[in-house]
Amino acid sequence: MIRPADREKRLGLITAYYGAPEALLGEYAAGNARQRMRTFTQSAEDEISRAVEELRRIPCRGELCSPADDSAIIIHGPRGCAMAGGDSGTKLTEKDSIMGSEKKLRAEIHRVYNASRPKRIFVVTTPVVAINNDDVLTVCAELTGSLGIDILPVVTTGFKNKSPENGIDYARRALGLDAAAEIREPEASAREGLLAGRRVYIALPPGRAAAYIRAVSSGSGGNIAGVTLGYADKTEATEEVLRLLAGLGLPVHVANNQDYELTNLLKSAVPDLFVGETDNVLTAARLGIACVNVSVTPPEAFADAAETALGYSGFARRLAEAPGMPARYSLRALLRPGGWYIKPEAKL
Amino acid sequence: MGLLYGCALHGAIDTLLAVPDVIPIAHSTAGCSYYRAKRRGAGAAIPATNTQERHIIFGGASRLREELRNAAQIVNGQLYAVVSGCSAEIVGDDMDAMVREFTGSGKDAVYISAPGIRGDASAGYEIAVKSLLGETWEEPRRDGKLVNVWGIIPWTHCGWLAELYALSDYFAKIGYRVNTLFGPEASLDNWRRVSSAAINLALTRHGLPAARYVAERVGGEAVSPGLFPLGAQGEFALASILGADTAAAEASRRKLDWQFAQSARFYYERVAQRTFSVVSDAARALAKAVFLTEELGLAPQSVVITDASEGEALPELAEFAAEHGARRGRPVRLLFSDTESEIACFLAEHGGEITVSDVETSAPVLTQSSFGAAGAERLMEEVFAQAAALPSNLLVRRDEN
Repeated sequence: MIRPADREKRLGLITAYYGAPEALLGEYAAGNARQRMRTFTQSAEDEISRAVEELRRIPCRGELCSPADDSAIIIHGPRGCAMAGGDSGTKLTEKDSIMGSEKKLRAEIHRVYNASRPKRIFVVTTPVVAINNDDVLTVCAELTGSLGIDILPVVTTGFKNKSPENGIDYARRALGLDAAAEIREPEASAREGLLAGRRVYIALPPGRAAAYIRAVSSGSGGNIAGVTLGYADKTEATEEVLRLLAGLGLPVHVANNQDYELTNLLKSAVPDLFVGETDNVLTAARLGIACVNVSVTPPEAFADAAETALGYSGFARRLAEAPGMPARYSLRALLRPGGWYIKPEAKL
Repeated sequence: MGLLYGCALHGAIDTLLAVPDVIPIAHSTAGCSYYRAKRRGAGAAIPATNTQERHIIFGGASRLREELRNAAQIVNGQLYAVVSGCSAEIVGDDMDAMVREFTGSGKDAVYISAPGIRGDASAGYEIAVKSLLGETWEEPRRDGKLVNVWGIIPWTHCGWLAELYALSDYFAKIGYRVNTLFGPEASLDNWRRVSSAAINLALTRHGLPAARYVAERVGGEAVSPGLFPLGAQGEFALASILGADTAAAEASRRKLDWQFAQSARFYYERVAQRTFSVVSDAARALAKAVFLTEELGLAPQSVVITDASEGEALPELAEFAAEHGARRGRPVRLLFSDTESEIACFLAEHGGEITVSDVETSAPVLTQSSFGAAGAERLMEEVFAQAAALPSNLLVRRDEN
């Protein structure tokens, strides 16, 4: 099994940045985008759950890889790792970590095969398996031969990469597909004058962010209050977003699910509307901001969703009164400039 | 479809998050603390070191040090609890030293070793509870009416908050006070009062270690009702083990009598002689199965236990299955699993006509407490709603397995 080249190396992907978009554009133009690191981080997604999401989405030889389509996904790791979204898990214990986990993996593959006779089984690996260097590939190869179905390893580790986006490539590689190409997002719907005089904050990956910036500003007359990118890389989408922000004189923030950083920026930006995916929507909603969750809103429904969100933001206002992380952040921390603990990474 | 419950790390973080004064800090790879929030909908973005390959190879203690230092600046809390994941434990990061160094700067902190390889959420609950107790012991000032309630695991047990409130209300009725250890009214001050409580009540087997631990260390009594206190019988059982007044239980009993009476016509037209399955954790599954057979007169077909393995000693459950297997002349099927697909396959083959489940798989559950008469009423409503959707002619019901 050949590991795909990490996006950090292949695409110059970075997950931490706060500052002028021009400087980042310059780094990409010079081919030396610098990795930064945080000295304070919060719960964040990893490549394992993103790999599982991708397995459920991409066509497996003409079919979708969901249980309904005769595929099963086993998360090979301690039971908590199976919460990443697999159909089952090997539930490794301390004993398995010491003595080896191959026996448990064989047993789970047999159990899943006998229970539902899937056409293929994916085995998604986790940190414990990677640290212990358990032999997953041999087990998968042997059982592929004996059971007569594809047992396909997805060799994620949970710690080798900075961005969960790499999970997409691991999933595709398991099926013999090339790493994902840049996807051009469909245009989000806009309505002239809908967002006139409104300040809108957008937190999305580059491709989607570019589409929604266009829909908000040129399409609906809104003002961009700020942008957080889930990551930045040397793609056209990132470049487009950085150029748009440079034109607006706004800084760019790059972060994957960093609640405090986003809270800090939203408190300064004071937007009327927030556009993002579920995790970031939760952060904005806890500040009482009207939100459109594009994880569940199709681009063509954006204008209607924005109008409704602005008119009916009662849940967010109520949520802002509930206990949660925003209330726990110290006032001093919320007054500090965004991303104060992001610093250049030392090369090893 | 996946696993219903998380690992020890998840159980520990959930337990700590239910005490508002405590800030959990996960020392683990990215994803570990994220999965629980994603799955349980709790959504709290806790500080987490999100360790990378370099921390696995060279050690992650220094990463933890800087996370602790910055967390103390950013997040207000009375106690910072470093909870370790599998990778930090396997590579042997010296978390104890980092926490000692941090406490040297005047902050309260504790290291809690709860890697996922150590077990399920209930293991994490036990580890976190004992660690919090270790941080908060105070000289007991015995309060004969104060009760510590153990064994309801925050976010893991469906409707946990509603259940704790229901218990608190009931104890107030019978002249006792619950020492609130989890939920919005919980505080570290209440944890310091744990040693003063006269009663340590273990509502499920997951609460027994904590109840016994407290009782052995500072005295007080560790008690358990045995069967989870569902229905008026459950209220009587609690009053009985405390030697308390039974007036509240008697009032609940009278109310339930009226509910039975006003359901009777519907019962005999749509519900009687139906078979049922229960899907729940061991404590509630058995209590529900007993109520459905003994008070609602339904026949048990199968029981799915979501928080125990087949090898675990659950003698009351084995006894229930044997007794009803003999009574019906066919086995009561048991499944021990927290894998949703496995449970679905099992129920497709061995499910009863009615399946009562308190497993939270998608939509949040807010009011579903299994405690007392109110728990019984909710269970009856669940049965009646399912029965109403079944064909009314009992002669056409499908054959039992």
